[in-house]
Amino acid sequence: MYALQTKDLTLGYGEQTVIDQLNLLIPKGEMSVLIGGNGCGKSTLLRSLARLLKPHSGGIVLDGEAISHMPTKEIARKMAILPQSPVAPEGLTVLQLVKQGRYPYQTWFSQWSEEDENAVQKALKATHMEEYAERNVDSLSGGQRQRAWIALTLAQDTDIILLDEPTTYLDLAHQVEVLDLLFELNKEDNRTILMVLHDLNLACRYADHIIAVKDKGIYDQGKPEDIVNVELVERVFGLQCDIIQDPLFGTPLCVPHGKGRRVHRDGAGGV
Amino acid sequence: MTKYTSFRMKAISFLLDRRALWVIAALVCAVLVTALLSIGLGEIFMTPDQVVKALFGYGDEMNELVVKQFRFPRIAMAVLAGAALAVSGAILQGMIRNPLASPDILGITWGGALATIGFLTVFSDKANALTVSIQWMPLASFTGAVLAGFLVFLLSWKNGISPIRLVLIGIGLTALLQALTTLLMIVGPIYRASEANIWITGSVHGTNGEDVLTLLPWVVILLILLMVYSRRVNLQELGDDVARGAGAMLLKDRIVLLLISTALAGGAVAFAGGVGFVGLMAPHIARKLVGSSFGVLVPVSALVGSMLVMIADLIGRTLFSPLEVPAGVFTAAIGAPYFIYLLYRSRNK
Repeated sequence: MYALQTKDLTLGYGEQTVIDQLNLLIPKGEMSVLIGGNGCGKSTLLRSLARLLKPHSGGIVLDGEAISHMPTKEIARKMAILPQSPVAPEGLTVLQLVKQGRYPYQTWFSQWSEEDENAVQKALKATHMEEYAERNVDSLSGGQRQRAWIALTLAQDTDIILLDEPTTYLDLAHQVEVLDLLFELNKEDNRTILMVLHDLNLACRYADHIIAVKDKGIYDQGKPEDIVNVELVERVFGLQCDIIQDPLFGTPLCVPHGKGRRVHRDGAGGV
Repeated sequence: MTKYTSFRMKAISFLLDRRALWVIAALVCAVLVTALLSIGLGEIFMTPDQVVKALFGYGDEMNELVVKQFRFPRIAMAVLAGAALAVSGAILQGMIRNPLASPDILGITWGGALATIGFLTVFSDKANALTVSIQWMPLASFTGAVLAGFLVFLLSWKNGISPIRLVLIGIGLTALLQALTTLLMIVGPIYRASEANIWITGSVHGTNGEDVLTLLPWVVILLILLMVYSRRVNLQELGDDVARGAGAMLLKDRIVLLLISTALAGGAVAFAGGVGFVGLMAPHIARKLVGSSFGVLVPVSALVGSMLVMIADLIGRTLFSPLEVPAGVFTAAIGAPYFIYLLYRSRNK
């Protein structure tokens, strides 16, 4: 089963084509990660999947239906998107932020039904943000803030969640914290997650499915351990590297070549 | 939930911010008390109980005349115009996501100014008397304000409305309108120029009961419509991508909100002239009081705006008595430094 599907999708800005005639399947219930060099079009692709960018030609199918024919609120009940580095207005509390995720379910007279409250509580609980519900978003740490935004997408109560670089500007500890949370959501709630990540090693650890974007299309896709190798990294990122096994998880770990200090340990000799 | 109360009645449900409800209640009281005091102050002094008596027709004849004919309509107009300008600014600031946006910047005020002085010039005969009734002036001002708003909106249209383009075009058009207004003032008779100048500064002097009754339903209806739309503003404030991702129809919402904002500012401008900076200051003060959730920001901004114009008018007609200083002088006197303070603060961020 596929959660999302593109049909001859062509994307671009003005005259410039970024993605050309792409046919892509996003597996249901899995965690998929888009990787690729800067400016390769992976964020553009993600945004168009979320109907934030109109395709030049071709289409996107969600649950067997073309999204161009679906009312936008109906799409919002099936698929949520968290854009890159969103900014909350001054003085907004976490609860007020997360509550906005209920927009596609509300009407002007019903703005806080019991379902709304339950969904928001569930989202706050899943993201471990309950105790911060009444704090201002500006007063939170980077990791907490990102968790609050993820809670907003969870409150939308969708099967599919798209995220554009959810770990940007976070330190390593907070990156792991956010990815662990998404991993839980995928494995325990069975939600389909598709995101753009910059860190190849973290992508290999968390993703069931990796999609490498290159030259206006897909270079390769599949399980990280099957497809991530020296050749892929060189072709997709233009980087020489060694691929070793992650000592903790057994997933592929990319060790880049290049310059740097060399340290000789315990008389083991030079390299 | 300690800060919020859930309100549910069958299909109707809202989440209420308890602190905001208290702030609104306190501001309503403050507006009423200030209005009562303000009606009593002036050339003829009245105590609050005399004011109340006069309002309900039990006072002495002179007091009743002063209250009903002059002061009450004037103060009611200050309240209405202040509220309308403040809310118009709150909409623009929320939509454009910039705390420096206001109806003054979007050309609305100056569109009204140009139309007003155009009206005064075109319909004056050689003896400087108006050839049509002065009652039509508010309609001219309103039309000018709304047309200017639409023009900004049309010129900034390019596959939708980008807030930043809206601001830039607004500033450009404002400069043009200002220049044309100045031109008309220089070309026209001196007497008209001074009249137009008072209008541009903004004054509630000479308001009659009919003006109030014309503006009142207008403001009330638009405010109700806006409250219905408030959750859409909340969503827009999170950014275009988040809003569209959550199922908002940005273009439609923006058009409706711009219409409401222009109509509110246009209404205020039609009767009170270009009272400046209220649309900038009031939403800002309101945000400090209750945060940026739009459902409470609208009533609080409205009340703060009412207070500002009412106090500015009170100072203007009492401090330099018997000289009348237009209320707009004082809103600008506080507003301009406040604007600089905001710029200064955003620089240090």
